[in-house]
Amino acid sequence: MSAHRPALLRTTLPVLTAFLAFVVTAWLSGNFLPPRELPSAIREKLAHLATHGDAYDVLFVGSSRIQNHIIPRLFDQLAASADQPIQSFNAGIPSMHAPEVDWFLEQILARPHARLRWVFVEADYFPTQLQEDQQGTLRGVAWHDWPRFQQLCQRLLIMKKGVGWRDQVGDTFERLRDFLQHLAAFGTRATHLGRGTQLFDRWRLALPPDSLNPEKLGPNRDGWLGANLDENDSSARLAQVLATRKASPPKPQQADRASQAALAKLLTKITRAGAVPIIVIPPRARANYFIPSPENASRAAAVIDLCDPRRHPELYDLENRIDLSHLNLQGAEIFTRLLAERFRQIAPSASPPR
Amino acid sequence: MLFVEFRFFIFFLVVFAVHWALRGNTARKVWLLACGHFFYACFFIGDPVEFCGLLRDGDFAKMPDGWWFPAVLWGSTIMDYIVGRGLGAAQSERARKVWLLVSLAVNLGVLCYFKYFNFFVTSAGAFLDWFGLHTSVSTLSILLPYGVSFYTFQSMSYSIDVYRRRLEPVRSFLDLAFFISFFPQLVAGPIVRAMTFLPQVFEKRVWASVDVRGCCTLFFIGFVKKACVSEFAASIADAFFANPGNYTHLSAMLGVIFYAVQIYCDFSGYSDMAIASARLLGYELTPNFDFPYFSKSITEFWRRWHISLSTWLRDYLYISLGGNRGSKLFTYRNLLLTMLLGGLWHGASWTFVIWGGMHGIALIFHREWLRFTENAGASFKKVVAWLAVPLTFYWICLTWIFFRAAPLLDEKAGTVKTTSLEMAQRILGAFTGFGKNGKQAFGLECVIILAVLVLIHWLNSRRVFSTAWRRLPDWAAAALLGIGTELAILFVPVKYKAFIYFQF
Repeated sequence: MSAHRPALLRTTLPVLTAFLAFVVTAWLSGNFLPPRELPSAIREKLAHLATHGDAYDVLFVGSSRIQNHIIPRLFDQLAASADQPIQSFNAGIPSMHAPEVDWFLEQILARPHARLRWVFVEADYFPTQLQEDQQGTLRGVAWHDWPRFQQLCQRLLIMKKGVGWRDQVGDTFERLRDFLQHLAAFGTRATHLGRGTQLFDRWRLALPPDSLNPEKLGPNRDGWLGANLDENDSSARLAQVLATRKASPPKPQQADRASQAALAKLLTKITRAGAVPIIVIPPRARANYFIPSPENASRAAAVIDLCDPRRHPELYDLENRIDLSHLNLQGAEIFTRLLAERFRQIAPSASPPR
Repeated sequence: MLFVEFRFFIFFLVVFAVHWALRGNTARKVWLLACGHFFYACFFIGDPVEFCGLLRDGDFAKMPDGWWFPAVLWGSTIMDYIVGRGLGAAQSERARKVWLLVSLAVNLGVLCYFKYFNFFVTSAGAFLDWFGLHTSVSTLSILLPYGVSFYTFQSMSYSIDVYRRRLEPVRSFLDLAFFISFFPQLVAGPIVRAMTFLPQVFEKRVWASVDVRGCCTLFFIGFVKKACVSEFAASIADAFFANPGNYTHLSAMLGVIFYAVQIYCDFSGYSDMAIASARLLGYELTPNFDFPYFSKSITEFWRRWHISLSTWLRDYLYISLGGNRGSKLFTYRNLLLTMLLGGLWHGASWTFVIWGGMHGIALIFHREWLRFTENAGASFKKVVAWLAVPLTFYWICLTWIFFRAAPLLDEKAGTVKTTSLEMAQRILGAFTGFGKNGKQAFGLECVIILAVLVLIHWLNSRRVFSTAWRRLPDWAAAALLGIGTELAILFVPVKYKAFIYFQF
């Protein structure tokens, strides 16, 4: 046994030394290299907020269901007509879920936001899988920092309950795959993989920095972009699902504790920034939908739940939708009006102290 | 799963830890056999979790193309095991010959079907057309299983060695299956002979004999060669080979030289990583490269480039054809045939055949040259010695043009605009200055980078770095490896090109 110990030490010590040298070099590289460029759409919205952030009272944060469904210009008009002169900006980004949305909000709040009073956040599940369109992309890498990676690890450790052993095994392997995907993205970010090549190529080929595309801010330059009609579902199938949903409405689900914890983090950040959070639940046509826990609901000024076909049947009409999750322009206008109406009721009572 | 990818590191870490944690040799072999097949399957099945789901549901229609290719590897292994047993049990020479023929026919049949079927069919059609016999040739949509050229050669080396009585047939199927599917060398070599590998399989590997520092250093060197140097060289070479006529004569030369750098760093980098991974598991693979671009002749080049293939071709093809046991013409015929077939081994295209032919002719020329200058004076030999390396390298660059030339496709119409041979002709023209040259040029930084690479390579060939490296204490070497790895990671591309030799 004693003979093994020095041999083990002889191997372990150099491995630890190499790892330490690797980490220190990575840390130093991170401090010396210019920051990575931000992914498209996120770059434009953050650049806009960096210069115009102080002008906005209201922000909308979430996925495409926020970006496509809330028209700030209409929202502002409706608020103004109710003697609430405000200026709002839609910071929704397609496919942005927890914990990416947490990172994005952090970026927004790091930019000027002197007038910010209300932040609408979308309540959504915390997915475990790194979406296919984010794997190996600038966007996938951008938000995989240590705090988000920790959140992901916590989420991945929550296993499905009440399922058979076969599903349990399948679930474990899925989690493992998801973990490796996130680990790869985190590793890419932490080690600055390929940054030298990018900077060297930029210098060698005299490439200009990625320019800002104003189109990404939408036609009104307020962050709103209508849903992409190319992604329209076949109307027969969509009509069938919508009819089913009207007959049996989606069931609210508090889901897992990681999803609630992620939402709680968002709400805390908003409150700390001196704004009031308002939770929005957009209309989806799935069997279940995510709702905040009572604790999270109490942290927000209100929970605007529009995912109920009985109360808002118009949001489940075929002529107002393009697919199971998204509304078309007409639907977006209805959605914005409903939101503005609720806001009128909430705003006077929920103004943050200035 | 490429050696330079993150998932390989995770895979290898698990393989390594479990391998050394297992006590018995059989358990270790079973583990490595399973890992080898998983590694191989990863090239075809896509996401393993999704694939298992499809397999469970029996949804074969949704399975990725070529998902069944690992079965070809199993088939080849089973067949060679049976042949080995048959050879061991055969009483007569005639029966032994029949067993060997079965092995050759099946192995070469698999190779021909997957790799050469369409090539032979289209070539035969073109040949008949040339004679005025117009035929309508239909090709098959055949995918090439990764590594098929490598593992069929390995399997054949087993059958041939058993036939030549240089090797006893293995008793255990596990041993043979493990040898063929050992993942570090499975998809792109080095082509390990049964004779050199199987004796290692029988003995339990000992951790104490593993030179961890040496292995990590070799893996790191391979990683830098592939991930940093080869990928950078590829960006220059690809730009030139896509539009050869647009570049100045000097830039055309630079483009081809960078391709020479790319292919060397790509393949030798892969080999280094394969050898290092195998050594970390306690197994020794055949070295594959020995600074080939510093060769003073083509003969020397083939002793230093893709050593495992050149020695395989020498021992199993050239010698089988009669080698140099005959007249001069007979020897030259064998040399040329070996190189032509060696060229064809790389790919089903006439450009590869020409590449092999150019090397064959150069080998013959070199033999004649040696005879011609046998009695030349010392000063003449000195001048020749000075010119030998650049001249050999120039010829190698010329041959690489045929190796690299790819057809120009009209992607919209899905047709070939310019064939590989026509492209090779254009590139050759730009490279030699006898064809069309344009005004586009690579920057001075490319020349500086090339000069630095050559200097490092030369110093390395003089063992300057290895001597200094050996003098370092373990902690300092480890720290430098850690720093070096991070610096290398900074200069890797975000998306890798597959290893060039995977396509063979």
